[in-house]
Amino acid sequence: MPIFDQGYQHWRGPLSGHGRRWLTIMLQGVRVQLTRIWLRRMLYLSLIPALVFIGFMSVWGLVEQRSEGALALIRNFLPSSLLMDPRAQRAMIWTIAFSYFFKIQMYFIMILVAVAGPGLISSDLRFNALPLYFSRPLNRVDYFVGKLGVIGALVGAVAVVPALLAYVLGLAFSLDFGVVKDTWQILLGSIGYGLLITISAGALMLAMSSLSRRSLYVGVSWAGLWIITGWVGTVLEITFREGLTHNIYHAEMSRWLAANPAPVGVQAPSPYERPSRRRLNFARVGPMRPNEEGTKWLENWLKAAKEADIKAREKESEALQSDWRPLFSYVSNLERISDSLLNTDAAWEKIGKAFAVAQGKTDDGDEPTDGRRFAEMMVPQYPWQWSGGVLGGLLGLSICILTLRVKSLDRLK
Amino acid sequence: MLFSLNNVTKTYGKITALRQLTVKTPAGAVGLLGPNGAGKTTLIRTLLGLITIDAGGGEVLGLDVHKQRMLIRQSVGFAPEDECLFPGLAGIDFVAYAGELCGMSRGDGMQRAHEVLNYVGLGEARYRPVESYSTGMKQRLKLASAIVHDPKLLILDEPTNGMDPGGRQEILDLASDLAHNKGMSLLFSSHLLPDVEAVCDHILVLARGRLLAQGKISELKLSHEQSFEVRVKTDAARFAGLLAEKGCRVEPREERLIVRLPSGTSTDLLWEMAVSAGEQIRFLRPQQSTLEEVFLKAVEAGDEAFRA
Repeated sequence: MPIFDQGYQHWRGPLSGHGRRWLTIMLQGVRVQLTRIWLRRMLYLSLIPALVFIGFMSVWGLVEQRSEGALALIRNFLPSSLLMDPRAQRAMIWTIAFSYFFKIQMYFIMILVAVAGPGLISSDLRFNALPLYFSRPLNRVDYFVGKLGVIGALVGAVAVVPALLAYVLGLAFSLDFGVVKDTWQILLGSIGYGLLITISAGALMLAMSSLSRRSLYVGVSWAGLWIITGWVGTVLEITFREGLTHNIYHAEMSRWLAANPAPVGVQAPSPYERPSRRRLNFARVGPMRPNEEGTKWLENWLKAAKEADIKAREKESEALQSDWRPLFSYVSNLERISDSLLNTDAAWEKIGKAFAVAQGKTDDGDEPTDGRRFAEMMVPQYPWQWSGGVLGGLLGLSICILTLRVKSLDRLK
Repeated sequence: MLFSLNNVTKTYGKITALRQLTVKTPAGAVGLLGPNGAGKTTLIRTLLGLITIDAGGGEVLGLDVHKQRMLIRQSVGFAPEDECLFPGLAGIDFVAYAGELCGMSRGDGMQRAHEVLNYVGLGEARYRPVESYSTGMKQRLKLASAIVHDPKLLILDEPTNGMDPGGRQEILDLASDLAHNKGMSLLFSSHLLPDVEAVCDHILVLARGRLLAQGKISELKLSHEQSFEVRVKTDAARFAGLLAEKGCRVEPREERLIVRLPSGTSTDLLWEMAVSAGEQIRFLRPQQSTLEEVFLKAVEAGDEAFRA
């Protein structure tokens, strides 16, 4: 009981305009989520890669300052050709660092969305909170944007804010404002990627949350979407690539072996077999050492196998341009857009060439022979617009589901 | 004028929830009566601008229901009939959040939440999660969240549902205090006629989407000519028998007698009979309809009109 019961008092304080309702819903949602201990723990854990990333950016800044300690550290990981003029490699190194950071933080983002997302709308449906919301001066758009903002806050905390902080520290340690001219695309790309994850993953999670009144089912479904689609995409992709290169190699070697049968004294290899140094060395020094003809045949076989391998890789590179299999993975679609925003393909190609030169893999004109290999390994080669279409389709589906499920009170009971 | 609707029609598929409804309601405490499916909830949602009506228009507190929905909802507080909670919050946070959703700042919302929770009688329970509240506490919480932003119009939809007699009386006292002493207009929707009669001055009776009756309760409860309510000191049954011999129609009702005098007579007959029977008349007044009679009569007339 109050000490002095004033009864009902009128209140004539200011009321903010309608434009900030979504912010109220978002802040309340964030406050509620931060009371959950497992969410806080995940947030703390996500700081570890962020700190490593920020540390790396600071170290690279020192490398650009020609700090001996920093150079000695980085020399263990990068060819010296790249360290002769670090400022010229800045855009490439930053791109790869940011790209790696976002790939790692994507795991934390998916887990945090799985922890925080399911209850955003399902709890409101379960406790019948919608009449309380919509009888107040806000509409469905405010409600959705506010709930989406909770996801956005988590994505921001885990990925975007550390990326921005790393950018600022990298700029500070470089002591060169030319950094901005070289890397403004990375900054905008990072912010854009954060927005993309928020809108795509947020809308999808809100749609799933609106389909059930039990958060557990929604969380399990989200985990299924993330993990199972990831597996399916990866398995399909690997199966396709391996199958393609394997078949081409086999076809080439079958043709060569048919045209160049093994001489007497040399055991005929199968068309599948890839030459190994061990086999060749054994053939040269073992008790069944072939004669000169046999040795020459083995060297030709090695050469033919290398050419078959190169041909298989060329075909693989061509096929990757239209390989749709990674589209099955939801996270791969997000990462494909990230690669496009950050232009990681060019960065990986550049670093791949530097490594090829360092390993002596050059042709007669001293051009690296394997320049695209890194890029093809690290970045999907199909057009980013395909992933954009998949994500756009999922966004449209999410909006349809939300519109139908979170009805205005016109159609509530 | 509290609100006015002009030829409002709302249908849900084949069901017409509101049928060319035209009503003008003065400010004050207004009761909304009607059987199930009468259109009370649809009317409330129309006033709040929550639904799109098929035809017609109206105003609430001078604001257009089509064009100024957000302003209406900022000036109106609504406590719905169903159990509704913002999950995961303590009572104080619940009410503060309700205030913030109306545009209050966080600090104002929290301060105001404490004030209204004191007013509705939720003490230390305000710091507990709302999911642990009893039915009565949830009703108080809904009332608090409806008045946190000091609305000009408070709409209560079945506010005493599921409450014990003590709690029910407290809610009615709060609603009456807000409407009569604090200058807040009230729209009170309920099936319980005694609740409406206790709180409201003006009623609207709806059935099948139409307005059947409206007016001040005191005016609708008409006096019956030649019918009187009488209470005597000692033997009501003997007095009733004596009146019946004189041609009066007598009906006992609780501790009183409802006496219909024959035409051509007046209350002088009652006094003469009391003298001859040695009785004392302790109470005498012309008989008035109860609100229940008003309601049932209106609904019956509405049914006849519908059948016609």
